[in-house]
Amino acid sequence: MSDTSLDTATPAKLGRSLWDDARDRLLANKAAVTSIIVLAVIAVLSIFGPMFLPHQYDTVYRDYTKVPASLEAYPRQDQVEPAFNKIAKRARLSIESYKMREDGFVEAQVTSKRKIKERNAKRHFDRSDLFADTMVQGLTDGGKSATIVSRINYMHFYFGTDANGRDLLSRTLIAGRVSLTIGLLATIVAISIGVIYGATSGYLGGRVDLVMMRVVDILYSLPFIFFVIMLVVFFGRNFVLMFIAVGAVEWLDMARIVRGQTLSIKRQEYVQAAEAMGITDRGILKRHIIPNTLGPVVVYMTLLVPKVILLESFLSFLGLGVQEPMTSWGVLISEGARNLEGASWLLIFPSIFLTSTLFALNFIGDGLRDALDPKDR
Amino acid sequence: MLRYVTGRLLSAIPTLFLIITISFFLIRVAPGGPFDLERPLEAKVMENLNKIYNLDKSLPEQYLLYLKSVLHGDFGPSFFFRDFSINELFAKSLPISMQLGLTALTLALIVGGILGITAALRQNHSVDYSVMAAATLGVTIPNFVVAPCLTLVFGVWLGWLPVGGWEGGKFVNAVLPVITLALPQVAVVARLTRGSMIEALRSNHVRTARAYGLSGYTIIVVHALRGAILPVVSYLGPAAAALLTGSVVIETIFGIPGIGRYFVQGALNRDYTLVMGTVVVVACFVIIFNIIVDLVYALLDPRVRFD
Amino acid sequence: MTKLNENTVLEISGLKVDFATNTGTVNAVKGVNIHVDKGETVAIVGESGSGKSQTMMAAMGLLASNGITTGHVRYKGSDILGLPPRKINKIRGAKITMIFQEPMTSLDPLYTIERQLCEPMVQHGNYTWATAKKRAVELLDLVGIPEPARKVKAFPYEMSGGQRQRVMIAMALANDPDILIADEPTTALDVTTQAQILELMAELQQRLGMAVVFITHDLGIVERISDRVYVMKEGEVVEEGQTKEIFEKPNHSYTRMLLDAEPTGRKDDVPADNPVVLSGDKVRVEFETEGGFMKPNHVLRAVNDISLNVREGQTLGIVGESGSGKSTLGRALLQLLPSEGRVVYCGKDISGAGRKAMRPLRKQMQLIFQDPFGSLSPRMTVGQVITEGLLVHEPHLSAQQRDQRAIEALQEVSMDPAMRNRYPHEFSGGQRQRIAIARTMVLKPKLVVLDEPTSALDRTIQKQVVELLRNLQTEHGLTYLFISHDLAVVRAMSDTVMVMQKGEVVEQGSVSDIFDNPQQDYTKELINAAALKLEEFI
Repeated sequence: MSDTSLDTATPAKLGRSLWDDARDRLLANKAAVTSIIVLAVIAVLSIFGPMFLPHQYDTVYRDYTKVPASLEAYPRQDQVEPAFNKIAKRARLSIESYKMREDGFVEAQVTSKRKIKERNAKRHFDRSDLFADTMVQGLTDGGKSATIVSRINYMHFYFGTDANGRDLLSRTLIAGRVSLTIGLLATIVAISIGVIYGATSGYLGGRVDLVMMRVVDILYSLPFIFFVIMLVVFFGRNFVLMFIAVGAVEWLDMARIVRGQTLSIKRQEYVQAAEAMGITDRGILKRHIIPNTLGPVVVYMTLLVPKVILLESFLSFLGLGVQEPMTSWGVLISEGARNLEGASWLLIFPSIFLTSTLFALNFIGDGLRDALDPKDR
Repeated sequence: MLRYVTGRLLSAIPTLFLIITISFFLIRVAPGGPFDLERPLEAKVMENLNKIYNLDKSLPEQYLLYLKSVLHGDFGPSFFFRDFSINELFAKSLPISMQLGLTALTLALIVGGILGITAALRQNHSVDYSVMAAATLGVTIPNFVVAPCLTLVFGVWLGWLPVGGWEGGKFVNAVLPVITLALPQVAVVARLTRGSMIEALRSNHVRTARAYGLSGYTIIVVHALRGAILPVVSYLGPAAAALLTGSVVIETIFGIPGIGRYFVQGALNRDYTLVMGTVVVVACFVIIFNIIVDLVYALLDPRVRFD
Repeated sequence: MTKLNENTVLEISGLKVDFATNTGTVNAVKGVNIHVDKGETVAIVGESGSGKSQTMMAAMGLLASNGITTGHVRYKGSDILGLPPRKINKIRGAKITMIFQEPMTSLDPLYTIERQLCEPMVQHGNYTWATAKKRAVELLDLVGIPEPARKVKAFPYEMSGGQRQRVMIAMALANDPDILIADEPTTALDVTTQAQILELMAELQQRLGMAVVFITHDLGIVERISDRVYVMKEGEVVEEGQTKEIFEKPNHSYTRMLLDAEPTGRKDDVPADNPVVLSGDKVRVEFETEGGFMKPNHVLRAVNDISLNVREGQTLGIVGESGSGKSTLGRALLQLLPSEGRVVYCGKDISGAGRKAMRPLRKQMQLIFQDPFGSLSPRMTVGQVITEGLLVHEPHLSAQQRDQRAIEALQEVSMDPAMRNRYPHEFSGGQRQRIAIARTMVLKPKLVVLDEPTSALDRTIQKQVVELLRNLQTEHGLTYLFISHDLAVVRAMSDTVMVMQKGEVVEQGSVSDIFDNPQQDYTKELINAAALKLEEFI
C-alpha cells in the first residue's frame, strides 16, 4: 500500500461473488448434480428422440395392440406363420407349401380358385404390419398358382404398444415434450405475473400494498383447482388455455415471496445507503433489489415446474388435459391405470418418466435453495 | 374464545359469498347445459325440465333463488342424478370420504411425526438420510401414480387386496386408499417436523434446558416438540380440509362412492347444483379447519391471543 | 501458573475444541488451562472469535453436534468431560449453573417463568413441585423483580430483557450452585440495565458465596468485578493473573493492546466562528404504527421538537440508549424520513424537500451505518459499491476514471486497492466499515451522519476506525453528526454532545461540560454505567 502511484492497470485480485459460491455449493451436491444430468437426459430424449425413432407417436399398428415391452423384435418366430395363414385366407389363397427363409423372407406356394391378381395379393400382405415388399412370382396354372415372397417387417417396441397399437416409446417421449413445455410455459406465466405483482406491491408499500395483498389473500381462499377444472371443462381442452389456467393459479405464491423479499431488501441498510447517496429508483431496482431477489425466484421456479407438470398430469389423468392423438404423461398414466391387468407396462414406463422428472426437479430446487441460501453463512 | 370463533365464522361469510357467486356465474356463462344430450330432447320435454329446475327464469333470479335455498341448507335437486337431491347425495358420500380422510390424517400425523422426530434426533446420520429420501419420494410421486402402482403390486400381482370397490367400507377395501391418501401427507409431516425440530433443538432455550440438567425426555418433548409442532399444525389445517372432502383420483381409481368424484362428474355433466354444492362444502371445510388451526395454535403458544 | 489447592472447584486442563465444518476442521480452542477456586470471581476476556465462550460451553458439554472436545474438566477432582448425559446432568444446573448472552431467547417462550424456574429444582431432587413454587417466588424477590408472586405466573414475552436476565440469574441460583458461569450476560442490554445486572450479581455473590466465571469482551467489567482474569486470543490463553496486576502491568502485547483499546484523546477545537453547516429547529418525527386494516393507527413520537446547530469542522455527538430516537433524528435531518420543523443546510432550507430536490445535495450529505455486514450490497464488488454514488453525481466519468477514484478512496481508508474486485462477504467487520467509509469519501462530502459506526466492532478495531474518522475529518474539514450509545467513543470524537432519552434532549453542551460536570441524573447514570476512567481526561 506504500505504492501510491497505483494506476488502473494494477492487477486487481478477482473476488468470488455469491453466485460463484452458490455454483460451487450446487456442484458439490451429488443429488442435485445427478438430478441435473437425469433431467437433461429426459429433456434431450423428449425433444430429439422422436425424430430418430422409427415409429410416429400416432401411427397405429393394428397387428400389434398391447404387445409387451421387449428388446426383441416383433413379429416373434411363432407369430409369423399364423399371421401369414390368416392373411392368405383373407385373400382367398390356399397355401401349398410355406418356408421361412434365412434372409428374413417368407416364401410360400399358393393356389387359388380364381386367377391370382398380383396387385390384390400384394395389397393384402403389405397392409399387414408384419410383412412388406411382397412379390408375386412364377404365376402358373393359368394364374391360379403362384409363389409369394414377402419380407418379414421386423419392428422394435422397446416400451411395448398401447391398446390402439401405438408405440409407447415414441408416445412417452412426445408426452414428455408436452409435459415439459406446459411445465415451462405455465411457470413462466406464473413467475411473470407473480414477480410483477409482488415487486410492485412490495416496492410501493403502504395502502397499495395493503390492498394488493388483500386481493391475494382472498384469491388464496378460493378453491382454485376447482376453477381450473371448470375452466378446462367449459372452455374446451386447449393447450394454450391449459397453461394459462395453471399459470394463473400458481402465481399467488410467487407474488407473496417476491413481495416479502422486496420488503425485506428495502429495509436492508444497503438500500438505505443507496437512497442516502441519492441513487435513483431505477438504479436501486437494477443494482440492489433485482439481483438480490433473483435467488429465491430461481429456487421457486425450479420447484414450480414440477408442481405445474403435476397439475397438468392430474388434469390429463382426469381426461381434461391434452387431447388425442396428442398425449402427455398424465394421459398415458391414466391409460395405464385402466389397463392394469395384462398391460402393466402402459403404467410403468410413463410413471418412471414422470416420477424421475419430478424427482430431479425437486432435488435441483432443494439443491439450489441450499446453495443460494446456506444457513451456515 | 367463543366470541373469537363466532367472529371468525362471521368474517368467513363474505368469502363464502364470493366463492358461491363466482362459481355460480362461471358455470352459467359456460357453453352447454345440463340437458344437452347426444339425442336432443323434444322441445316440450325440454321446456318442462327447464321449468322444473327454474332454468326458465333470468340468471339473477336463479342466483337469488339458489342463495336463498343454500341459506336454508338446501343445495337443490341434482340435474344429472334426477331422483336425488344434492343433500341426499352428500349424506351418503361425505361420511365415506371423511372416514377415509380422517384415517389417513391420523396415520400421517403419527407416522410422519415419529419419523420426523427420529430424523431430527439423528441428524446427518443414515437414519436421517433414509427418512428424508423416503419423504422426498412420498412428496414427489403423485397419487395417480401411487394408486395404480399399489393396485398393480398388491391387487394384481400378489392378489392380497382387492383391486377396487368399497363394499360398505370393509377393512381390506380401505387399506390401499388410506395408504395412498396418507403417503404424501406422511412425507410432508415428516419433513416439517424434522426441520422445525432441528431448529428447536438448536434454540437458545433448549440450550438452557440442557445446561440445567433436565432429562432428555423433558428437553425433547416439553421444550423442543411443543414449539416444533406449530408449523405442522398450520400445514395440517388446509391439508385436513382437502383430505376430508375426498380425492377425485383415489375415489375414481379404487371405485369408492365418496364425495370427491362428484365435482368432476358434475362439471362434465353440467350438473350445476352438484358442482355448486361441492364447492360450498369444500370451502366450508377449509374455513372450519383454519379456525381449528388457530385454536390449536393458541392452545400451544401462549403468545397468541384472541384479540 | 497459580498453584492448585483443595479450594479448587473447577479445573479445566488441556481443553481443545474442534469444529468439523464443510470447509475443514476449525480449531476453536487450542489447549486451555483454567481453574476456579471456591468463591472467587474469574473473568475470561477476549474479542469475538477468541474461543472464550466455546471453552466454557465445551466444558459443560453444550457444544453443537459438530464440536469435538478433548482434554480434562474436573469438578471437585472428578473428570466430568465426556460423561453420559445422565451423569453430567447431576452437576449441570445443580452444582454448576449458567446464564447466557441472549436474555430474549434463553427462556422457553411457551411456558411460565414459574414452570421454568421449578423444573431444574425438581429435576435435581431438592424440591417437590409445591416447595419449588414457593422457592421460585423467593428467588424472584431475591433478584429484584417487583411483585414476584404475580410475575412468577408471567410468560417470558411479558418481560423486558433486563427482567429476563434477572429470571435467568434466579434460575442459576435455585439449587445453590458452587459455580455460576455467566457468558456475556450484559452485552445485549442497555448500559443502565447492564450496570444494574452487574451490581446484582456482585451483591448476590457476596451473600451466597459461589464462584463466578464471567466471560466478557468488556475490560471495564473485568476490572470492576473480577479477582483473577484469563486473557484469550485465537483459542489460547495468552495471559492470566490477578486482575489488579494485569491491569497495572500487562505482560503480553495483546493484553496491552486490549487495555489500550479504549478510544482516547479528544478532538481539537475548531474556530467558533466557522459557518453553520446544519441546523435544525423543532424537528419532530412521528410514526404511525399500523393498527391493521380499517383500524385506527397509533401515533408514536420518536423525535420531539429537537433543535441543534453544527458548525463546519465540528462533531456533534448524539448519545442515548436504544429507542431514544437518536438514529431517527439523524435520518430526519438528512430528509430520509418525513419530519416536521425546519432543517437548514448551508443556508438553504431543505425541510420537506423531496427525493428529486435532495438528489444534488446527497453528494455533500452522507450517512454511514452501524452494521458493516448489512450496509454493503452483497452482490456487488467493493469497487462497484464504492463508485455507485458516482454514477449519479458525476455521470460524466468513464469506467476507468471511476476505477481510479475507487483506488484512491480505498487508499484513503488504508486498504489495499487490489481488493476492489472482491465481494463484501470476503472481508472482516472492520474492513467492511472502512469500505463503507470509502464509499462516502469518494463523493467528497461536507457533512457525514455516522450512525453507531463503531458499535458492531471489537474494541481494538473500534479504536482504529475512530482514528481514521478523526484523520479524515481534519484532512477534509468534514462536519460530523456522531450517533452512538458508547460514551467513550463519543467523548473521543465530539466537540459538543447531546444526550437523548425517549425522543427528548436531556442535556446538551460541550464535551467537557457533559462528561466532567453532568447536570442531569440520567446523564450521570449513563456515565457511571459506562464506568469511564476519569483519570484519562487529564
